[in-house]
Amino acid sequence: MQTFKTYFRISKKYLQGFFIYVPIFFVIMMLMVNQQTEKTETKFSTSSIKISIFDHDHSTLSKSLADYLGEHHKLIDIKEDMDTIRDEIYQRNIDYILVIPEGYENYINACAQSPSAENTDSFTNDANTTDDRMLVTYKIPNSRFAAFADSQINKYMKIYSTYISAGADREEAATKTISTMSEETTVTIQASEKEAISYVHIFYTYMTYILISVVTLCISPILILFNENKIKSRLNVSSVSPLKINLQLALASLIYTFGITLLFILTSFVLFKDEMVFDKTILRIANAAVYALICLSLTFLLATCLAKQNMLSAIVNLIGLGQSFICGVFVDRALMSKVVLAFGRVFPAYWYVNIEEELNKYKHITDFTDSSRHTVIYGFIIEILFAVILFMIGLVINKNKKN
Amino acid sequence: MSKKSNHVNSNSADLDSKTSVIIVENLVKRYKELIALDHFNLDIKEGEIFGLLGPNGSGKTTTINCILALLKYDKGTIKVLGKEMKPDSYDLKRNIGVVMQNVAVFDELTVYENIDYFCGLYIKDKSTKKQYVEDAINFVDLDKFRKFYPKKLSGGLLRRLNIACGIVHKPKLIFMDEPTVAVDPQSRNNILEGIVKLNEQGATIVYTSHYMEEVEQICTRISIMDKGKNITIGSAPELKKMIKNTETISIELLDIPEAVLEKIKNINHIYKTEYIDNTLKLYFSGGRHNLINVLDLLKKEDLHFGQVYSQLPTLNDVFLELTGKELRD
Repeated sequence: MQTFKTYFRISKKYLQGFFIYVPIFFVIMMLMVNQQTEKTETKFSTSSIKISIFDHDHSTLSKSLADYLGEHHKLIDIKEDMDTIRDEIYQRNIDYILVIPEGYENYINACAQSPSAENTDSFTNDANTTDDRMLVTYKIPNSRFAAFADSQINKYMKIYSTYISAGADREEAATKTISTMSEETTVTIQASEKEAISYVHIFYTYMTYILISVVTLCISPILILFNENKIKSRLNVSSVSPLKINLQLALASLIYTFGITLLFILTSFVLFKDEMVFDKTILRIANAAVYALICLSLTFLLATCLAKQNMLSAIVNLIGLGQSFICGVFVDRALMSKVVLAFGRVFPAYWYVNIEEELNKYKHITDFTDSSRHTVIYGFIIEILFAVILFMIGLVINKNKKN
Repeated sequence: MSKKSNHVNSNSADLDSKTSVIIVENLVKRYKELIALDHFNLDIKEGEIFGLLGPNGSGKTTTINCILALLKYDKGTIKVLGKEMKPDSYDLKRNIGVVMQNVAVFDELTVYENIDYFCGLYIKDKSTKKQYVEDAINFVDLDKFRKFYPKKLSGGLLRRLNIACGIVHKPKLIFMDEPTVAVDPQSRNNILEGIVKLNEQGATIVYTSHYMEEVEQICTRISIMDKGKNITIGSAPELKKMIKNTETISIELLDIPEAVLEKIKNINHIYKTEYIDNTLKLYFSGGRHNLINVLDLLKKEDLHFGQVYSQLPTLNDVFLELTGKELRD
């Protein structure tokens, strides 16, 4: 296994491809994971704010309103003078202050029972009104907490007015208002399309570009070295058959390729362990493994065609970037034209992404439709064909070169 | 190079009693219309340093490639170490070392790792391999450079590494294809000394070069090749005896009267005279004291002359006379 050992000795000198692409890939993935944990909202809860209430009315309505607000918010006692109120608001110690004027209940009841009298749509003074009979509020300007409290108070008062106008007495209206306000609404957050994206899916899709770049840039230079005429002549006059040397090179290349692929797969487990679903993961690993074989076949073909390494980087970038843009690795397929996607079919990445897209549609393999199953199986077959065809072309060119 | 003369002067007749290491009979190799080897014959005996001498394109490298089964040939037979040489003759190849014309090493491996890799292609046993690698490093005197990468080595050191990779497995038969190309004179001498040392250790060496001085210096027998044919084979003195010229005298003269030139032409053993660029060249075939005779005549005619050279025939003269062209054409 002299050639096998030497292969890995030489491989250390060609790790720059690995060290260029892999850190970039991992940094992008880490950023994505952080974004996911910081920004995505999946739960809804009502907020509690700090509120002070000055009740000058001491009526059934004012007490029930104060009780309701006290139930949902934190009530804070402060001295009722303008300096204190301003200081507390300025220092953000209190979010909202409500003053219920004397005779408020009578005024509201009168309004409710006589529709022609006052407008009952608004129950608080705003910046433009100074009605002594209305509720007075002090709040932090443009605060969402204040807006929330305004909305709650207005809602409470509207319901109370409705019960009064419907003929309920004061006690009954207050009790029923609290009861109605207590009915909770179930809130379901509809995830936006962007938030619904699976990061495992992004990882495995983007892996198409990274894998082809890393495998070809790390392995092709080694195979090119062993293909150089001067080295080949020396190997051909040795007492080891070319077949044995080639088998050792093939074995080393296989191990190296699957080593790189395994590293990416393990990384996906570390980064997205909560998102990994067993049955889909098995298919994802299989897809990555078959794609890795394609990368290896391409590597062999490039090493056979190229006499020197100087063109390698340019060709790998052309193939890697080209197929990534055409096949929907970098760009969402929904945004791509049909013509471009049809052209993408001649690249292996198209079929890899096809399988990946299908896996992303369902939570489990068992949810697959017949069409999905067909797409996945067909994708695997085409991928294997790509690997075989590229390898065969390499063999034919190699044989022609020998002759 | 004190022992060199023993090799060069060894009697060709003694070789008849020795075993043939390489026998090539009627070898024909064609590249489409071009005939690279034309019924080529060769018999190299054990313990020889055998030189293949010829201009570029004469068929030296093709001959070696055919012997090593790197090239298919159209006709003829090749036997190496008593057996027919085939691409899969791995037992035979174990006893053969090749030092390529181009330095064939991995730039990505150190001197030690390179020698170790090529040794491992022949020697399986770890301790034997380690010993052989150390022996090869010491043989080419690269001990100080064992951890160096080839790109850090000078041209001469690189050639020595190339030789070490070719001979590390201690082969019985070594092919050296122009191992001193583009090497400085000091390194060249070191390499030639090394080749003689390998031969003294028992290896038979096939040495190709278009540097006739080198071939003359170290080879016991020489084959002069041209257009894929073996023109002649023999030791350097034997080859030189084959040609008419035995000595060439060159004299710097500002002018020479026609009458004097006629008298010079009549000196014994002169078969050709040339007067070009104020230099008179006289070609002798046999005879003794030729230079004294010429100088006596010039003195008698009261002709003043500058520098005088006397040259014995070289292999280039042999080649020139046999083919009508220079070796380095």
